[in-house]
Parts: sequence; structure tokens; C-alpha cells
Amino acid sequence: MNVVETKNIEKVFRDADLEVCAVNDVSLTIQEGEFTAVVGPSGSGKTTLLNMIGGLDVPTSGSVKVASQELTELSKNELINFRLFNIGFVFQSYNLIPVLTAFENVEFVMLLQKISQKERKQRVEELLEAVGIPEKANVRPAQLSGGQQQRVAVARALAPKPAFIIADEPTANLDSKSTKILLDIMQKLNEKEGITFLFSTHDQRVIDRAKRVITLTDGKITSDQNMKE
Amino acid sequence: MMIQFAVVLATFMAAFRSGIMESQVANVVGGFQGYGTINDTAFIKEPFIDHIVAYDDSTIKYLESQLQISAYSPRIIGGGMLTCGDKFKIIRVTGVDPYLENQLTHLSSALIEGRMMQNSGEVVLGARLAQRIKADIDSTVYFSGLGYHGNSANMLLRVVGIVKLSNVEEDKRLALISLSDAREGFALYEGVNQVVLSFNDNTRALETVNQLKSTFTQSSQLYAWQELNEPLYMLVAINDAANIIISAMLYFVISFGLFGTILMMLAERKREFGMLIALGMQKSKLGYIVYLENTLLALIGTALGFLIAVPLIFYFNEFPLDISGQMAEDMEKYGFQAQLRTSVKGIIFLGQAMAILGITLLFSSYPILKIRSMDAVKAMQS
Repeated sequence: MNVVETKNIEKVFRDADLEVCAVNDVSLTIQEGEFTAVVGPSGSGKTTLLNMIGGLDVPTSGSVKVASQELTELSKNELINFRLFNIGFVFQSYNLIPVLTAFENVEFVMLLQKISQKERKQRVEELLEAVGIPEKANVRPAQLSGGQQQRVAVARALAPKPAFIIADEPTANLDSKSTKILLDIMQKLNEKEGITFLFSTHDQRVIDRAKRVITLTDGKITSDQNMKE
Repeated sequence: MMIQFAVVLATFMAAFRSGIMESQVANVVGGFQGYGTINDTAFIKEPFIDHIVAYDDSTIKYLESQLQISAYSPRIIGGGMLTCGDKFKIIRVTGVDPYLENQLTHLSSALIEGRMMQNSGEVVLGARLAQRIKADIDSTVYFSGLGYHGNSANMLLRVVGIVKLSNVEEDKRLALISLSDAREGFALYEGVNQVVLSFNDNTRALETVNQLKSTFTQSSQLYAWQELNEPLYMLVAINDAANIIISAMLYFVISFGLFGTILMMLAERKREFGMLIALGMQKSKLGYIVYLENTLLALIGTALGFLIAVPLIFYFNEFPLDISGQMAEDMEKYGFQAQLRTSVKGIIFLGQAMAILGITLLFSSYPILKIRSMDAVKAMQS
């Protein structure tokens, strides 16, 4: 089943007289259970592509379907609501809420989904267990290492039971040890629970683990390799 | 912090501005002049003893029956020269009923030596007058002046008390004798020159006098202090207008500070807001939460500022700041008290605190507009 399907999407940024085509005629599909990395040099359009797939940005032209829903047809508010229930995000700089504990950070999205307290508690405990930091539940982000913060971010992305998770350079700020632990966790979640991951990355360690690698150059897909082959 | 500071500053400044003028009015008007008077129209321009008004049983009955009038005191006022030994000064001797006068002006509380008059032939002097003519308790002073209808007025009086009025000009010329001594001395056997009034609410003296005019037979003889002391009334009016301008300027400056604080908060939390929108929080909900957050901060800040300001205002009302040097001399020369006193009128605290709260709540709606137009991606990149 296709989780993501883009057709001829294009994103043009205009600033005064300057016009930059960040993503140019990109068509791709991501199927359920994929562990895909989008790679390419800086400025190749990786983040822009992921933002459009994640409903954070709208394409200038073309179509983006996520979980069979055409995102370009949604209003801004509908798009926010769609993200809440269907897409999990892991950001390069973690983006945890500093005043909340790890538990509360993971719980937060479920609060927006109006899930009952009992269910929230159970799911947060399961997720913190899954990312290997159950003992850090009551700790605030500032007291966690970068790797631990990113693991909380992964747990938060999983909390709403999304169709897939978008991770924008998730290991860029992590050391080797933390990168390995994080990749192990994400790989395990992918293999055992069938969670779909879509990364943008420069990191060879992430690329090595990906099942599929899509290379972008100047906003165009220049290669799309299935790594099992 | 900013809100607290704004509330303290606005409340404190308003309390001082109002307090200074209130205390000048209380000093000049409440000290001796009175908030209202009954006197002959001619007496206003020429305060001679010949200009009298009736003070009989019907007048007393009227004054006693009016609920707005809290106290009244009949006065006979005659000009002349007061001599003590080889020192003299041109003054106005005022004959009063000691009991009624004390009800009105609480003069006995201003006594610094001796007592009020009890018997015939006794006089109470203002401290500065006593100093000027070198009179002490038990000194004998001689008054020589003009009585009613051209009679000469000559009185030999014994000083029994010295009062110190905060109104310097009044203190320099105050010589009080009993009403009966004044009648004899000035040969004025009926009527008085003035009946001075005090009201339950002296801040509404003008309105009260206008109400009384509808029931008093000699309505043309009734005056509020504003009609008798136009320079002071004008000064109060100018001060009120200046207060509005100063308040507007102060609010303008405070508004800049508050708006700057809100802009800073928005800049600091832009990334956080962007992330929350990206995760799926509706902008309207986020705006509402931020507004509630700011409202709560505004309420706490206002309450704390209020709690800090109120004791300070009461302190400076009880213990006013004394002005010294040339400025003090100049103020006293014009009959003003050389003191900076705060007003403790509740409306001042509440008015200022509410104004700051209102400004804060108004500016708190700005983040709602910013969040509505916020781009999650750009906000997270900031």
C-alpha cells in the first residue's frame, strides 16, 4: 500500500527578482514499511521535498497524496489536523518543549488528539520503553544528552500512531554512539512493527542502514536505489 | 516584571500628582478658608466688617437641618493693627465660636502652646504672627482697628494659645478671639461677616453648594471655595489637565515597554510555536493559549505591582517628603505646604492598575495575529 505518492511536484521560491526551483518535477511513491533515505548535497531540495510530503509546505504545482489523502486540496487548518493524526516528525534539533518532561513531551501530541489519560499514560510508557529511556520519563530535555533527546523526539513522533515518520537529518547533531543507538531503535521499529520511515540525511551511517536511497540533485531525483537488490 | 514596574510607576506617579494638589486644597481651603461660605457678595471683593449676613435662629436651623453640611462656623472679621510691646503687624482679627470653629477646622489640634480661648479678653495667635510680634503665652497684645459702621475697635487681649497652621499666609495673620468679644469689640451686634461651611464630601463642594442654593433663601450669599478662590481652582483644573497629559505620555512609554516585551517573547518562542504548529496544534488554539498565558501574567503582574505600590503610597501619605531650600520658601510664600504627599484615593490605585492591565491585555492580542500568519517551517528555522 502506498503511504506517500507524489506526482510531478514542483516548488519554486520567489524573492524579489530571484526565482529558485527547489524541487523540480518529482514523482515518487513510498510504500508501507519502507525505511527510505533521501540524500543529496546541501541545497538539493531534500528538506523542501520532505516538508511538502509532511504537509508543512505546499507545492507550487503537482500532487501530494499521503495515506490516500490529497494534501493540496486541504485548507491550512485541515492540513494541521491531518498532520496531527497521520504524520510523525523527528527534527534535526530535536525541538522538544523545554519546560515539559520527557513523559509530557511524548504525551503532548496525544493531548491534542484528545486521547484519554489512561491510554496516554500506557502509550507513553510503552514508547519510552521502546526507545530505551523509561527511566528518563520525569526528566526535562535540558538534563538529557542529545541522543536521549532525539529518542524522546522519536517516541513523540510515534505517539499519535502516524501513517509514517519523517525524520529531517535526525543524526546530524549526534555522536557516533548516539547515532548507532538511535538507528538501532528506528530500524527495530521498522522491522518489528512495520513503521514507515522517510529520512533526509547526509550521514553515511544512516544511508548504510536504509532499504531504499533516493538521491536528489538540484531538486530532481537522479537515482532511486533499492538497497536490498 | 515589566508589568509590575509599570503598575508601580503609574500608580505612584498618579498618587503623587493627585496627592500634592489634594493636600494643597486641604491645606489652603480646609485649613481655614472653608469648603463653602455664606457671605455678602460685596465681602468677596472687599472683606470689610460692614459687609454682613444674617446669623439668626432661622439661619442656624437651616444649617443644622442640611445633611450635606458636616460643620459650620460663624466668623466676624475685622482689620487693624496688632501690637505687642514695640512690635506690630497689620492683621485681621477673627471672632469665632471656639466650639463650632473647632468642629470645622480642628484648630485645637494645631495648638503648639497653651489652649483655645475660654474667657473674655483671650486671643489665640498663629505661630508666625506670634514670632513676628514677639508674643508668647500670657503676653498682652493690643488691637486697634475699624469696627462696624465706622466705630473704632480697640481691644486689649491676653495670648492664651499659639497654633501653627500649615497654610503659611494664614498663619502669619491669624488672631482668634471669641465671637462675643468680637461683637463687643467691633460693635457688631447682629449678623456676622461669614459663616464657613464644611461638607460630608468636600470633594463635591461645588455640586453641594449648588444643591443648597435651591433651598437657601439667600442663595446669592452661598459660595463654594472654587468661587471664592479662583486662582487655586484654576490651578487644580490645570493640574487635572496636566495629569491627563502626563498620564497619556506615561502610558505611551509604558506601552512601548510592554509591546517590546511581547515582541521579545514572540521572537524567543517563535521556534517553539512553529514546532507546535508542525506537530498538529491548531493556530487558533495556540493563539488562545498564548493569550491566556499573557492574561495570567498580566493579572499576576498587576496584582504584584499593586501590592508593592499600595504600602508605599500609604507610607508617603502618612510621612510626606519635605521640600527644602528656595523651592520650599517659594511654595510657602504662595500659601502652599512645602511637602510632597501621595493621595490615598482608591480610584487612583485601581484606575492606574486597570489602565496598565487594559494596555497589557490589548497588546496580548498581538501574538494571536502573529501566530495566525505564522509559517511553521520558517518559524522553526528562526
